Amino acid sequence: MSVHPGRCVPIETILLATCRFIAGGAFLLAAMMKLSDPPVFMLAIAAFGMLPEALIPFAAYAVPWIEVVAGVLLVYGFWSRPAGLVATGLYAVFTAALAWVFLSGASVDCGCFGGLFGRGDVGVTSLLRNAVFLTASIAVTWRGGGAASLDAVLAARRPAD
Amino acid sequence: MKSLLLRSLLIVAIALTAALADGALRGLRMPPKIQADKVPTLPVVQVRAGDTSPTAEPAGDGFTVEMLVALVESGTAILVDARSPAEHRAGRIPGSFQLEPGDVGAASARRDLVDFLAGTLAADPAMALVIYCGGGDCHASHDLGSQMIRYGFAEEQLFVFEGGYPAWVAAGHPIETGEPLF
Repeated sequence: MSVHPGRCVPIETILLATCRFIAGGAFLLAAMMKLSDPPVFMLAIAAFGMLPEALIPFAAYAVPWIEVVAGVLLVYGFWSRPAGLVATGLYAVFTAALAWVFLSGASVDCGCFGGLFGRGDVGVTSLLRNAVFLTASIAVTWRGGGAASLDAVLAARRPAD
Repeated sequence: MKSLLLRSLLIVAIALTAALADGALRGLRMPPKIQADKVPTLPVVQVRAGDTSPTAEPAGDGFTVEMLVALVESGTAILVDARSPAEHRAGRIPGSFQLEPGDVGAASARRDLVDFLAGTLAADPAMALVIYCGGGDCHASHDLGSQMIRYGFAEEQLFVFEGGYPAWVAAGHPIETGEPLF
């Protein structure tokens, strides 16, 4: 499937592109903030109390770099399904961690987006936001990047076997 | 399916390689004084109703405005106003900096000031940072202090002046108004 001028763009193309931009764009924004000051993100991870302290510094670099690589691939729509799978895994971990803290009733700073939107304890808003990102990632993993992705362009140019 | 998993693993491997290189360059170390898993109890510096006159003696363990003046004049304390920028402009304890809860963090526009204060305190362990606000329960001061400790400030150097700006004014001390330098 490809996009032709003058024709209606299929709704699936629009939806998948939107999902890619939501999941990938959020990853890139969050990674930029986290990588700008890793020690602050280390404190945010420590606040959740889920990782041994020895692993926290590595996680503070690993998580945003996974977000960078998967985010770029999702936005361009290259290797959309593998990038979507990685994003699904990461968003699932984030959502589970937020749900764990929320259900425990603890007052913990979300640490989401490196504090870009100010300090905010884990709550329904952060859970719903992550649920949206998780849904978008699952959609891309399931259906691919859609006709408006680099994957589709490359597939169209590939000579038929 | 096999290709999907292999490519996913390759994405993670590339990211982890970059993370290791970045961490090696910038340092894979935890910031000092991690206390993010609990709400710290700040030492409280209190001004009681009867202690606010310029000549008042401290009541019990109370802390008078005069003691605060002595600390600042001796160069052993920095003052931070935890009220809003508008309140700070309208009137403040002379020489105090303004920071609100939420200003401590990587994305904060006040990060330069926060890092300056952290560096000043780290360079001189005898230096104290006294946070004040609008009196009352002084939630803003305690919230700001907690965030500073989570950011890496040493807990033993942070104090809350619970009487706040009203106690300072009531004691008849001069105030500063207008745009602050920082």
